[in-house]
Amino acid sequence: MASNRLSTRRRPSKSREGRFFVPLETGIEYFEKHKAKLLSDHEGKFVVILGEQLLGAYDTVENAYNAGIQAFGDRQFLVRKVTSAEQNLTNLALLHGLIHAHH
Amino acid sequence: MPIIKFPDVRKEGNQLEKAGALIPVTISLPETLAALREGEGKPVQGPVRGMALLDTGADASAIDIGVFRHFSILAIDRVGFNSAGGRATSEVFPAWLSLPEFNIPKLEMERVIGCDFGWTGRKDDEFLMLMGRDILRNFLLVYDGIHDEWLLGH
Repeated sequence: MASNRLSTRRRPSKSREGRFFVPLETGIEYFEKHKAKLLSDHEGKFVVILGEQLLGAYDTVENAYNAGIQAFGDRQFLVRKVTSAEQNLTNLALLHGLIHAHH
Repeated sequence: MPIIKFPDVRKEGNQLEKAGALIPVTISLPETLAALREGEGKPVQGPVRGMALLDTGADASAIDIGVFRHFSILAIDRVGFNSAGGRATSEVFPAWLSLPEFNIPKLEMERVIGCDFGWTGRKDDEFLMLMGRDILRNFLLVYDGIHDEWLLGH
């Protein structure tokens, strides 16, 4: 039931160009859901994901981004390194409120 | 190893204490995205020039969100961090950085976070970036506060 509610809430909407917009969160959820398998197959590489579609795994972030652009154009897609470490940043300026990140 | 001494000796003293270790940088639209837009007949934005402050307290570099808006680049990920207000997330962007002082045409950065630095894009010497340890790991850095200069070797 929960997954039905989720898919209804995240139903893709059409952009002005007539293409379906898929939120970045959908790709992030896909990554987290399949993380064990991704770690097994592609640890240390950068994966490209649009919605629930895994495009591939690449050696560098640049290669991954370029592949994403060639496959999806300028639509928003996820590029993330496959690692068991938690995705986390340490920035003392952010920590102390000297600068503010864009959410 | 090319070594560049900062700041420019023509400027007045105490620059290092006042402004910090600043280096000119150029940020460009990713080539693949530029080619795509060119092929579609869309405008291709030129590179942005500004100053980066060396930040040894950051493990990932940050660039003003205005730069990404200028390029109309979408975020490629979100990442968590600890902020003054507690746990938060930030958008991660692709960025192609070059350092003219070193004739380095392109430095690859795994993840760059978008921040608000107040960059307006009106002048080439505006502050637009915090250069973190993800980039500094490629350099030798000597901070000489006594002589008001710093050295960067690559």
